[in-house]
Amino acid sequence: MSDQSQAILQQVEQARENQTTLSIHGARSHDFLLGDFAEAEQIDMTRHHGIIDYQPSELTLTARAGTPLNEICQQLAQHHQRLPTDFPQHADNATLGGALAIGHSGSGRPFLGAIRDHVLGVRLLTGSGEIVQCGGQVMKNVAGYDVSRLLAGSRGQFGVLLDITLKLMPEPERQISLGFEMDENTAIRQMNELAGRSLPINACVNDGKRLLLRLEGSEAGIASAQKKLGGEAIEPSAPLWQSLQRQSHEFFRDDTPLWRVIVPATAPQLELENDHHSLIDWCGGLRWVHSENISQSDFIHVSNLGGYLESYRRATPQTAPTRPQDVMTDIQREMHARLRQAFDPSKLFNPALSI
Amino acid sequence: MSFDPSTGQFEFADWDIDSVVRDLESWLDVDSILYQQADLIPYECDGLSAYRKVPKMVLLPQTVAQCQHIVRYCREKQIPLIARGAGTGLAGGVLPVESSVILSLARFNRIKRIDPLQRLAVVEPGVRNLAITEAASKHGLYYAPDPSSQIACSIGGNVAENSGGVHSLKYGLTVNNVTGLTIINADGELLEVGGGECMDAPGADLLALMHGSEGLLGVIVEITVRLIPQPEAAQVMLAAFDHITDAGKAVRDIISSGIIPAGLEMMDKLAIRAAEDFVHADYPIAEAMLLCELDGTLAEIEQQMTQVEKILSACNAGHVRRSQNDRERALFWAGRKAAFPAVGRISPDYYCMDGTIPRKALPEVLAEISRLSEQYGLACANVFHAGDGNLHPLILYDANRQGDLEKAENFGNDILRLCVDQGGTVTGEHGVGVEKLDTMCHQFNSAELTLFHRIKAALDPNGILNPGKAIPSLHRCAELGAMHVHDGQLPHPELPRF
Repeated sequence: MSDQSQAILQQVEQARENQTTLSIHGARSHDFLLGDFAEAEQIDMTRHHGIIDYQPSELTLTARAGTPLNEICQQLAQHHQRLPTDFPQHADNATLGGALAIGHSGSGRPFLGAIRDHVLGVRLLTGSGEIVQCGGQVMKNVAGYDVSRLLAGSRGQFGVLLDITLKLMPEPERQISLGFEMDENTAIRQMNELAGRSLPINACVNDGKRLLLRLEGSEAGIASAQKKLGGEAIEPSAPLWQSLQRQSHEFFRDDTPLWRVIVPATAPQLELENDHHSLIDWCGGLRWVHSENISQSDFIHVSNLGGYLESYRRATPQTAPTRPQDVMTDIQREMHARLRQAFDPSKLFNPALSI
Repeated sequence: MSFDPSTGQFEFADWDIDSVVRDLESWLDVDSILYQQADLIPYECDGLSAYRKVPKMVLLPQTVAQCQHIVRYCREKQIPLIARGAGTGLAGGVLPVESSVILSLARFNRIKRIDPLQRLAVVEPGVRNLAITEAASKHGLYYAPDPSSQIACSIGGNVAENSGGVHSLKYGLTVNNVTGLTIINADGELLEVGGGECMDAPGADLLALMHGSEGLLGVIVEITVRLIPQPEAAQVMLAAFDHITDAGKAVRDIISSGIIPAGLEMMDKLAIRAAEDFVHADYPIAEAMLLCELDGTLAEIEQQMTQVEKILSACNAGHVRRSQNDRERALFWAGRKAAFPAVGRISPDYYCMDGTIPRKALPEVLAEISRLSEQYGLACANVFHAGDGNLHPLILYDANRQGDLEKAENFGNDILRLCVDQGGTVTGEHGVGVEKLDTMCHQFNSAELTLFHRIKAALDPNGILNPGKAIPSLHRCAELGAMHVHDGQLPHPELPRF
């Protein structure tokens, strides 16, 4: 347990004075998304770590941004509680702050919500060197602008996340996973049809061969749903979903460049120009694609489907990881730039992402 | 005109109605421009009728392009512009300010598209909340957030206020159920925020920022909402308590047992009696009453209801009853849903609060409200969304009795300060509007308010969109002297004190 707020504040004040820049790092599992930060001085958030307040009966937790998600999960498990949705966890020490700053969500996204849906409040150190508390610890709060959720996906552009308060979930009585042999297009349709029915499903994935469902809830509810759905039970159930959350699943072990494709959930199987293979998550809304070469017409194809395509891991020099602003419209970029100006007027943080 | 982005202070000059009407008539239908006193009266207030001001002009455009034109025109002429939905808000969020124009979105009332497979609806801002569920129901889907005004309130207003409702405990607030917006920014440009049909969008979460921003950051002209499957079944359990602390304990124990009820509501004796006299829901007259709704599959409900029953009896509940069918379920809810008008029958006026507290603080806060009630000599009926700690104390007063309104407001402000001191907030779902500007000074310090004003200035540099609402100016807080004192430092050392 260590509160480094003051040390981080000093680092920020120093940088303001010296007119240098700062890059913010947690477990470094997503450093590849921060662009080139070689010039910037680094803020190591893993030192700012520890659970500040955990109230099992309130279903809320406040922790410092550098606290590993693993540590939080262990604490919650002792009270039969857990994180409210799937948090990507690509390293053993992946942090809470990193998860919110990157803002990507795991397989539960369509059913349990994104990470931001469960953020109740944050303490933020802005580029002006001020520490502000936004939101709070209660479930409902509409006082002031919703800065805590705004920060989801901001990648450190708006300031240093210090502490985060989250809503939690009770651990369900039972989890099962069901598999059904199915091609991609059939799976996409099936996922969306199932999501429209009153069933305790909270994740739908297609690994290229099978439709995989995760069901969670009460013993009785799961038993009756399993009877309705049929399919082959996958046992044990939890490792499959953990491997997706940690990107340790076989699909992610491929050495070719990995692309993250966001499309409307019902968009058909992607028709890309070159060899590729995909894993469909988020009930169809997220397509992970391995491909050596994504062509200009592929970008247009995805855009015509109503989505966008990001270069993610193992980007080639020609395809550096996509920055958020690369997939924004001009006016969206302009709004982001103006907001950034409000939080970090001297552009101290994560300069490579600057708009 | 002047607008100081660092403090939120503003002043707009008056303008000549004839010349503005002449300008507008060149691109807006005559019947879209209201400026005669009689036409303007309906726009003098929202659901917070204690505050009234007749606007100078009301515009009722029919197209997005006209809305953009209006925003650009107002920016150029420095005319304050207030976007308005159904006017059911409870905090004075659309109260006209000096020399303001009201932009009514009432004519944007079409449901543009429902995609049952993707479980989304694309709607215009003037569509009523309940109309979305009505249209989606044939597909076995519904829109979850259900503010009590849902028959009348508009979805655009719901986004502006980030409305909640009885079912937000399980299904979230508006912000958790909207996937995308089209807004007009303060420059009059159209912009998409959020993913819309997609479940992610690049960059910081502007979609969340727009929620609850009370019309200060942009004008919402299209909304994509998430629809969810109607549950197979729903049942509600009713329980009475001799001690309000037992009811509070039952709330805590139900939530920590791992059950997430679809709704968990509490009423105190005064509220129960008023509701019972009004709708005859066959409520037991007790010190407190809980309504606990569970939904899901039949098998799931059956199992969890048994658990809830055990918890209730361990907390000394009496009169425990479970709805046997949908008709009975509706009857159990009828009293709760009619609680506000029911209280309206027993008092000439009431003042509704909206503070939210951590659930554990419930017994202490209730005891303090009851003490304040004696101190002010005003009765207070308590109705809560107990599951998420959102309190709606209704302070009873008589506006015709001299000093009563002031007393009620002071009583209310004391309750809100109490909520903040317990780690809560001054408003859970009704918004700040003009009503809670002063109590905002208690919740936020100068740096936090300054950041809010900077956000406003970043997106609306001229400060024309709904000025003076939601975020108090630093001067206001300084004059009030109620500002947070952090680390022993005096609030706003930079400002002159009067």
